[in-house]
Amino acid sequence: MRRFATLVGLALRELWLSYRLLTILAALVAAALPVALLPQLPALTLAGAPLERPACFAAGLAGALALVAGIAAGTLSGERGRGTLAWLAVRAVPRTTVLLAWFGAFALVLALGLAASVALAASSLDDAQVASRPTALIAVSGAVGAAGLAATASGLLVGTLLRPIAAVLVTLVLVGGTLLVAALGPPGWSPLPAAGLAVLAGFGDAARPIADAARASGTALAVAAGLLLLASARLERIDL
Amino acid sequence: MRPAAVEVHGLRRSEGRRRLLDGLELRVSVGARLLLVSRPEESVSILLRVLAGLVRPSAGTVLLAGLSRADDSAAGWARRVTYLAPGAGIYSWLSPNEALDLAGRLAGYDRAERRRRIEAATEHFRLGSGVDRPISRGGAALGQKTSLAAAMLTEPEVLLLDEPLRSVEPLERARLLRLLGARTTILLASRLPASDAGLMNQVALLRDGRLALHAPVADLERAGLPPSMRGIEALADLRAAGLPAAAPG
Repeated sequence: MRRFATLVGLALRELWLSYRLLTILAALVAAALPVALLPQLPALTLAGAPLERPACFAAGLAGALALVAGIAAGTLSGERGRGTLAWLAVRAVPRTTVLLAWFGAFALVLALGLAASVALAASSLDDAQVASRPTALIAVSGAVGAAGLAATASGLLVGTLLRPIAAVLVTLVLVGGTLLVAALGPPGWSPLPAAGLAVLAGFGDAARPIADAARASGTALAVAAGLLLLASARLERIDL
Repeated sequence: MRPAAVEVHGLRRSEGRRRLLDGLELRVSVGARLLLVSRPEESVSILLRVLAGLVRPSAGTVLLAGLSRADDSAAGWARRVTYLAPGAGIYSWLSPNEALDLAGRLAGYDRAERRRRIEAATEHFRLGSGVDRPISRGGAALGQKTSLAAAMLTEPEVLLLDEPLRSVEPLERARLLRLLGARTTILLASRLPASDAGLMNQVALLRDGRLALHAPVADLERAGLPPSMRGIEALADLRAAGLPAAAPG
């Protein structure tokens, strides 16, 4: 456990010094800026319906989470290429431990950024929506966080397969597309691991947001665990 | 016969269609300093990476310091076997002190033991006054010296060196390689054997993935051959032809 904590600290410092940590935090906070700062959103419509504030926020978060996943992919792939993963492996650090340490570091940054983003966006939502349902908002935020974890795990898996630039691009396209469909897609349909964004997008009208968020969180966490298992299996087999 | 520090049996590994290791058999006794060269050149690098557990062989077995596979306990594999890649492989924002501390932590040493070993390594490898500044400011040479010091922190029984310290000035490089413990078994892969042969006491040549020669370095001198790739290959040819090692005339 002490070794894992050492590796998480190392990963966080690497993210900080390479400005990736700040980029992630800035992207997550920026996702909330349009709904927080604009008294009236531009008259955007989606499938003939006006784009509500929660849906606009969800779309912004989809982009930010895709960026997190892309950075995760490029990071792990870069660790392989630079030989730092080999340096750790030679010191008998299990490759899976390194993978989980990076996942843990991204999860911490994601939690921090998402908390700031939701707090900022919540200030702009209708008082009736937030004041009467703070528990629901927290549950939905958790579901979005779980979707972010699944996105991060996807990025790490792609990072074990491709070189850095290819890994980033493929992750941005695949994960970004999935998250945007969830945030802006037709009501009642969304890719399961990203369903938290759909719940957030429909937050104003949702009848049972807590139940929906719990279901979305469970699915996303299960998918994240499955993706991490795949990434671990792949990482244990590749040459360093 | 001295006990073996490294035993390799039937090792096979290909890259695409090229066979880099083709049923390799090799036994290196404890305390040996083995210079490894090969045709193709990549064979020795891949051999060391297989020995370090970074690359999987397609067949064959490896025994290092009596261990058959990586043991992830701190007291196990990492303390007994270590590998140094051509690049430093350390985060360049770490200072040499931090890199050594990290290596000590990963090896499971407590704070007092880490401090003792880091002070000894810093002095032994003359890491200089910049031990608290990022490695990136000291250039590639400092990174490689730090990497060597980190590798030696655990006083390993087997040290696998793949083209080490190429960024370090030649005299300093020779000094550093001479510093490695007398009890440590060293396998050094080199593309410039003439500059490394003087530091080693055995030489092995791999041809097409098989062992073509394993002999004392002194045999080159006895045969009147230079310690270069050409000389090593000529000695292997003499041995293969069953001719005496001494050069005619």
